[in-house]
Amino acid sequence: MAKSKRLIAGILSTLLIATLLAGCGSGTTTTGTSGNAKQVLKMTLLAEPQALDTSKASAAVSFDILTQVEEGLYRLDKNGQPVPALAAALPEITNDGKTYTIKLRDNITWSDGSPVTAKDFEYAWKRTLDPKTKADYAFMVAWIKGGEAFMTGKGSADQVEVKATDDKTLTFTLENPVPFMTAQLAFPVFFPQKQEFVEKQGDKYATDADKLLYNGPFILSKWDHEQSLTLVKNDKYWDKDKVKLDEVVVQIASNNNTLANLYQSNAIDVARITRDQVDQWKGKPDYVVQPQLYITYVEMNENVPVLKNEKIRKALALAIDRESLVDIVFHDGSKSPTGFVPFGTMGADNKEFRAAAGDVLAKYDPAQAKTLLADGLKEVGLSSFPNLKFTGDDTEDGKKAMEFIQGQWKQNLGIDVTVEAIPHKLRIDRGQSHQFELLLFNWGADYNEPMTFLDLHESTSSFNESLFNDPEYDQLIKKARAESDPAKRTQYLIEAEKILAAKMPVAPVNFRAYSYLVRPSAKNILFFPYGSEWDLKEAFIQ
Amino acid sequence: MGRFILRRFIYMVITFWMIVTVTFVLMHNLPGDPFANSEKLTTQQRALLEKQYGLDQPLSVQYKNYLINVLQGDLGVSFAYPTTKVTDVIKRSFPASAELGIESIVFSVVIGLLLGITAALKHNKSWDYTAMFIAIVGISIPSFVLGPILQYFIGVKWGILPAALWDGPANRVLPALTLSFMTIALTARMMRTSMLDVIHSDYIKTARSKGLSQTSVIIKHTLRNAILPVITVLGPIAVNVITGTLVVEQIFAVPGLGKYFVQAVYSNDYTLIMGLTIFYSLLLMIVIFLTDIAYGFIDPRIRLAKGRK
Repeated sequence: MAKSKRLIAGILSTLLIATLLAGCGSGTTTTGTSGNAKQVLKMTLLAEPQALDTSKASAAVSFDILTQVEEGLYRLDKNGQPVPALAAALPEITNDGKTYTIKLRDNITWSDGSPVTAKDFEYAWKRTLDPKTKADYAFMVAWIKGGEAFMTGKGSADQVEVKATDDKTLTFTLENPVPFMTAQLAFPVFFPQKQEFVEKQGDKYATDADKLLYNGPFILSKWDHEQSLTLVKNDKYWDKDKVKLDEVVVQIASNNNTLANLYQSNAIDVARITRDQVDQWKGKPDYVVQPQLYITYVEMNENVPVLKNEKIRKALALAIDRESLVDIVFHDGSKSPTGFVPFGTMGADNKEFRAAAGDVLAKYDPAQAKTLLADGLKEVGLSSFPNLKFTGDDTEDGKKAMEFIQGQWKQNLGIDVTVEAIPHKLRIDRGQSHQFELLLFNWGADYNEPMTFLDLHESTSSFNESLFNDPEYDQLIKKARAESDPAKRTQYLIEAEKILAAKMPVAPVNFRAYSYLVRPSAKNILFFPYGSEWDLKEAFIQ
Repeated sequence: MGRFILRRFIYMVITFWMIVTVTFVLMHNLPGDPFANSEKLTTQQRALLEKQYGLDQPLSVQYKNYLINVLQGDLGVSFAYPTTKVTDVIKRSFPASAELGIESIVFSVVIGLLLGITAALKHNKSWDYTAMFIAIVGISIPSFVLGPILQYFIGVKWGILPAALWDGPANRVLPALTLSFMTIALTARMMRTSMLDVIHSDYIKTARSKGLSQTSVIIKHTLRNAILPVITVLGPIAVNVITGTLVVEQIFAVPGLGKYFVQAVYSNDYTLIMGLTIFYSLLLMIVIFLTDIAYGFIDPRIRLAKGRK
C-alpha cells in the first residue's frame, strides 16, 4: 500500500515537473515572425466558423476564411472597389442596368486541377436559391429575375435568369437594377461551386479541410476544429505571384483581453480590441481603426401612444449626447452619427453617401428637447411622461449604452425609463413582433449602398420594428429601387433620409468601428467595413 | 454492496430522466427561435428548417422522439452549426476540457498535499502560516481574476509561459494552475487538519516511543492515515474542475466545451443545450456515483448505515 502510494506520488511529481520544464522550454524559444525566410502571419477568429459552404455561410468568421481560400468574379480593393478576379474584366451591362455579361479569365482552376467554369457559378447560385439549401443570404441572389420565385417555392431553377452560355461566359438579368451589383459579386454567396464535388460530399461538404475545393489565394490545409485553421499559399491560383505569405495560422480566441495579451506576447499579429485596451495602444503604430457599415439606434414603437407623437420622439433623440455616448460607452473609434446611413457607405453614383447627404441629424440640444417634450405631452393630453421600458441586448455594450441613454433622459428631460437587458435572440423576437416600447437596435450592412440602411424603415419592411408609416418615404424608396440612373437613385435616397431626420422614427446613437492591433511589420492586410473583416491576398511580413 | 450500488444506479437513472425532461420543457419555452439569422429567412426556408429539426411536430411527439434518440446516443444536429452533430461538437471539444481538468486535478493533489503536509509538520511556524496564507488566497480569488493576472505577468510581462492558446504542453500550465488554485487550497487545508489529528493520536505516540525514526513515523504511519479523508474531497474537486472550465477556457482560449454552455443558450441552440446538459449531468452523476461507491469501500459505515434504512 505504502509502496504503491509512493509510486503514484512519484509519477505525479514527475509529471508536474515535466510539465513545468516543458513549459519553460518552449516558452523561451518563442520568437517573432520577422526575420524568418518563411512568411507566416498569425491571425485569430472570434469563434469556430460554420461550414465553409458559400451558399450557407452567414457569420463574419466564415467570410473571413472564405475570402482567403475562395474567390468570386471580383475582389474588393483597399477602397472597396471591385477589381476583376475570376472575371477577365468588369461586366458588360445593358443600358437598363439589368443584364450582365461576364467573361471568365483563362487559367483559373480549382485546387483539384479542374478548370473553374461559368457553369460552376450558375450551379452555385441556383443551389443557394433552392429553398432546400436553406441559405440565409439567398435573398441577395434573389435579385436575379426568377430568383425570388424559386427561393420562395413558387418557381423553378430553370426560370432563374442566370446562364452559363459557354464555359467562359456567364450572363444574368436582374429584376431591378442593382447599381452596386459588381461589388456585390465579391461577396461569398456569389462564389462558384463545383457541382460534382458538392454532390459527392453531400452533408459533409465544406465541413473539413479536405471536403472543399479551393480557387483563392490560399488553401485550407488544416482545420483543427475549435482550435485553429492553417492556410497555405495556393500554387494553382491564377495570380499567385502577388501572394507573398507562405502560411497563415488562424487561432480561435474570443476574449478581447486575451487577444491583446497574445498580441503583446507576439503570439499573434492582429488582434481586435475593445474600449478597455484602446487607451494603452492609441497613438502607437500598431493601432488601427476600421469604421464599419454598422449603425445602432433607439427604436420608438409607434404603437405606444406617447411615441406616436413626433415631437416626443424628437425630444428623446435630441436629449442624447451622442458624442459623449460614443466616447464613454464604445471608445473604440466609433463615431457619433450624423444621419441614418453610416460614414463610408457608397452611393450608387460611387460617391460617399454621407458626404453627399450632409449632416441631417439634429444636434444634441437639451433645452430644445425639453420644450419639444412639454409641447408633445400637451398634444397627447398627458401631464407627465409615462415610465417606459427600454429593451436591448444583454451584452456589455448593449447594457452600457442603455444605461447611458437612460441617464441622459433622466438628466435632460427628467423622465424615467426602465432598462431591460435580454438575450439577443429574445431581443430580435421582441423587435420583430413589435412587443417593446423603446428598443436598442443594431444593423450591419448587407451590401455597400445606403438602401441596406434606408429600406429598414419602409412601412412594409420586416425590420420596420418601430412601425413607421410614411407614404412619401415609401414612394421615394420604391422609386430609388426601380431607378437605373445612379445619380437619381442617390438623390431619392438623400430625400428619403431627410424624412427620417424630420419624423425621427428611430434615434441613431452610434456608427460602429473596430479597433485593431496590427503588427507594424505586417503589411498590406486589407480591412473591410462589412462582410469579411480582412483580405490577406497581398499581405506580407517585412 | 451489490444492493447499495444497484440502488445508487436507479437513483442515477431517475435523476437523469428528470434532468432531460426539465431541460426539454424549459428550453422549448425559451422565447425566440433557434435559427441563426432567422430574420433573414423566407417562410419556405423556415418551414423546411422546422421540418428538418422536427419542430413542426407537437411538443409531446418531439419529446418522445428526443428521448428515443438520446437513448440511442443521438443528440441531434446543432442549430448554430447546421452541418455539425452535437455529438461531434462534444467529441472535438471535450478532449481539451478533459485534459485541462485532469491536469488541474494533478496540480491540486500534488501541490495541495505538499502544502498541507508542510503546514502540519511545521505547525504554528512560519511555514505553516505561509502555506495557509496561500490556501486562503486560493479560496478567495476567483479564477476570472487570477487567470488574467497570471496571463499578464507570467505570459506577457515576464514571457515565461505562453499567454494563451493550446499549441503545446507549455500552454497547459497557466490554465491548469488557474483552474486548480481553489482546489489546491481545499486539499491543503484538508490535509493539514487531517495530519494534525493523526499526529496527536495515541498510535503515533506509540510509534515514536518504539523508537522509530521521524521519517518512518511520518511516511508509514501519519501520511497513510491522514490521506484517507483527503480522498473524499476528490469527488467535489472533480466536479469543481468540470464546471470551472467555462471561465478558464475563455481566458486562455482553450478549444474546450465550456464556451458552448453560454453560447448555446444565447443562440437558442436547442439541440446543443440539451446535448451539453445531458453530457455534463451524466458526467457529474458518474463522478458522484463513483465517489459514493468509493466512500462505501473506504468506510463501510456509510454503506451499512444507508443499507439499514
